[in-house]
Amino acid sequence: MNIQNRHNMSRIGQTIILLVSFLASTPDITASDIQASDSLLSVVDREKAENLSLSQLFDHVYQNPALTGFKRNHSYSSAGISWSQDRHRDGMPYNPAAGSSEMHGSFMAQTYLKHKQSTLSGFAGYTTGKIKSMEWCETSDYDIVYPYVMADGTGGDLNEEIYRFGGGISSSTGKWHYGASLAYKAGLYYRSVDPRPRNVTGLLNLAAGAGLSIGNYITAIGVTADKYKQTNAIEFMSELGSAKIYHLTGLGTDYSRFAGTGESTYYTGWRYGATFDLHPARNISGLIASLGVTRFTFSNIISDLNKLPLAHVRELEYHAQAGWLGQHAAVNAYASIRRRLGDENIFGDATSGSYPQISTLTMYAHNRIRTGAQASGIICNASRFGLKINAMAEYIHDNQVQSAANARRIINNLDMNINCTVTFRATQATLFSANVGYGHRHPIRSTFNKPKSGIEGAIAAADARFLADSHMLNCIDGTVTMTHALPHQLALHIAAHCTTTTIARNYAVTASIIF
Amino acid sequence: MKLLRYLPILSGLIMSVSSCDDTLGDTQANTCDVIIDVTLPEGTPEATAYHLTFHNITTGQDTTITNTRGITLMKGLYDITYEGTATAESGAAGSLRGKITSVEILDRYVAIDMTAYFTVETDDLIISEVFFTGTLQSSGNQYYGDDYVKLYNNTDHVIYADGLTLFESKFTTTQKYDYTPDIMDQAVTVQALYTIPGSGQDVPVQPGGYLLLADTGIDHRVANPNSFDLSHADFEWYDISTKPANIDIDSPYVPNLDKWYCYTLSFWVLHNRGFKAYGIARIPVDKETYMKDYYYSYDYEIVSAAGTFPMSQSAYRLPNEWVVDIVNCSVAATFQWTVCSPMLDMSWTNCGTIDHDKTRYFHAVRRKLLYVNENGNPVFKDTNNSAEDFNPMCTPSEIELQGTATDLNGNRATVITYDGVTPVK
Repeated sequence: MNIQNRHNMSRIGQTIILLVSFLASTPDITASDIQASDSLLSVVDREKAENLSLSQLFDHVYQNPALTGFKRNHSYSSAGISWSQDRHRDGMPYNPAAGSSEMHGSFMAQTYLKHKQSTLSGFAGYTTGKIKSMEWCETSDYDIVYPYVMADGTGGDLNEEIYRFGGGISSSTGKWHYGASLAYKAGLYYRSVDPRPRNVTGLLNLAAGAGLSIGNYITAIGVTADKYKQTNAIEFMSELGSAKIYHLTGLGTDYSRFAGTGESTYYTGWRYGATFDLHPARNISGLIASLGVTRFTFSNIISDLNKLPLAHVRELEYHAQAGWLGQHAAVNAYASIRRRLGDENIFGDATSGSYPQISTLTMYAHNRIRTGAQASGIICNASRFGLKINAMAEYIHDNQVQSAANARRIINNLDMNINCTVTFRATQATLFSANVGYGHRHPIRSTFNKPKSGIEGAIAAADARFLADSHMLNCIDGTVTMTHALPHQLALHIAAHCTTTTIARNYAVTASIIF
Repeated sequence: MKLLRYLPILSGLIMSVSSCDDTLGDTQANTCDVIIDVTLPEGTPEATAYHLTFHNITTGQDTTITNTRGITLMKGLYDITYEGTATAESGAAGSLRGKITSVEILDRYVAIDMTAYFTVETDDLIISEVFFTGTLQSSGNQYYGDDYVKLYNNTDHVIYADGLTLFESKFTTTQKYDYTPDIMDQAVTVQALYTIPGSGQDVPVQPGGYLLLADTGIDHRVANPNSFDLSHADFEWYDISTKPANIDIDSPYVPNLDKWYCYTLSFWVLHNRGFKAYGIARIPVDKETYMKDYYYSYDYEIVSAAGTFPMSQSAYRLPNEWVVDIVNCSVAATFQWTVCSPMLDMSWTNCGTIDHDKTRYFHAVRRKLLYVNENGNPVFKDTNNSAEDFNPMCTPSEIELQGTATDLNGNRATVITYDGVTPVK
């Protein structure tokens, strides 16, 4: 990590500390205000309500800042640390670009404060960790910038540091509802042996929403804008030679002309979105619906070839959601259709190191359709026991084409999951909860027509990812938590989580203070 | 809750939509239909067989086709090569070759014209090896002076090498300009010319015999233990430097080539990243005539962010019919073009794959073995196509023969091969 990056990250760290301090000392909302608004609920009660919440089915709707205040009817804040590990099982397929395992340590603080007609929310966090054995991808945020990533046949472990913070306010005049939020996420990814990538990512999100009460419902409009940027630079220090850098174009293909050149690249793009949401005005019970559209575009530019614009990506996504939220049950059906197109630029002969652009061809396309339904019901919500059952089924159609080499990948999966949450109040001050779930992924159709030519290693990596994404999975996961009330409306919260699937395992532990 | 009854209907509708085989239309408009007309100069025999190779510069994919009509290609920027066989009226078998580079195939229908030339293989020496990368000292620094070019008699009779001229191209394979006039169909533009001295029958090369032309004909192991002995070379190229800080070494053991011309005021070394073409030619005129009549000027433009700058330079030209053999060298990451007519060389070979590739040292390009004849002599491939004719990135033959270092760490060569790949049995 160079000094400039350390300096930038240090500034981000200072900003997080300031934000946490701000959230902790919000001047306009005093402790007495909060206690007044949540006077009927102790902190343990609020934790129990979190566990048995049904509104989680509609998280998408609550991303509209005008409706954020309807997510909970109580305040809920926490600050804590966590550790997690993801590891793929030996001999089972995994996506080499994402590494064979990951380990992370995090600090995260978040708040959701209700005060009269307003809700203040915010978060700040820091994550540090390591991704082990990444291969055929030296670029970060793969899911954002795919399929145009830099890669080499060597790879290795990648250190990462992620900073995130944000905040928002949601308020209401009774008839009108409005809100705004701002969030920023920055990442630094690096390796201290050859090849030495240094990736810096930044994602700034601004969102605003406004709603109007009409009868028993609120109709709201939300708009969002993201600015994304990532810079990559790969260095080699070894005297014995350097690995060849490829600019991959999806499904194991690469932009062959610039293989071995362009070790500095960057991505820059914008995402815009709008939603139309419907939510019950009172008692948070009734129909909830959302229609939305998002457009995301970015360019992949090779810095050290006179800012050569290698590719441009256009993505358009529509989503729809409709469901019913009741006091003891909720159902929800949703669908989203997303299409991503990759336009690759064709260049003529270089003149003095500058390549004239002579054409643009749409070479890559990715269609993804998701549709599913979810149901959740509170079977029991007694003073000592609580029981919630949640079931979901989702169908995913994923179709990718890279026409340069006639490569095509289709995966249709049916995912099903059922889980049950039990809460047990051992004493007035202590709450235990457990969540146990079983999931199954059933591949319906899986085909991968590999590129007719290309880099052997990159094709093998694409094939490994295909095998991982289309593998039949059985999944069991469990979480146990203990929440113990402390003086001053605080509580100690400890959670342990384990997920084991046919191809991977995940463990996580969290210790936090909630208030 | 009445709405709940519609949820299964909604889900079913979405499922049915998603199960349709969606199209990815925009990616399907990327092909075009191509027809190509190959013109043969007057008097050229018709091809008895031919094939066209379309190399997509962007994706690196090659498409080989044996007709000139009804060709469907992915849109893009292409290098197109034509290779065929033909028999002259005299009965001599030869080959037809043509190449056009950086062809924009971007419209729905594209018609292309190209010219192919007939060549009969020359009955002369060939370049069997070029060692341009050099060796490294134990400190990791480049060592200069142990580069060499090896010639070989691939025929079944004695060939006299005196009068053959070793040359280096002026233009680099990694930087392309639109030079005016474009003389590539007639001549190679050169910047170094060194001729084997003799009256015509002084330097015989037996069938299966080699001729070693070295930069400096000394035992380089004295100065660099990672290098090897070139004191047995047949000739060396020696330059009288005008720069005291860069003085060439004149070996007392090895006769010098006759220097006709070299661009440098110090001393000539082969381009150690291999961005040039190296060749041999038989120049049918004397030195004075050549130096007087074959100098020409050319113009080109350097286009940069600061503007367009007209440039003018002068160099010697070497007519294509004088060229006996030539090999273009480059690296994949920065290759732009071959710096001679496709009639002489269709493609290029390499040591290393990227610019400043540190793995290139201690490696040479060596001509591929076809077979070993009844006399025990290797017969090498010579199709005027360096990518096909040469093994890239091989251990140099002198390192193999002397068992010297193959890398910075001093690991020694243990196997002797004909061509860097096939072991000598």
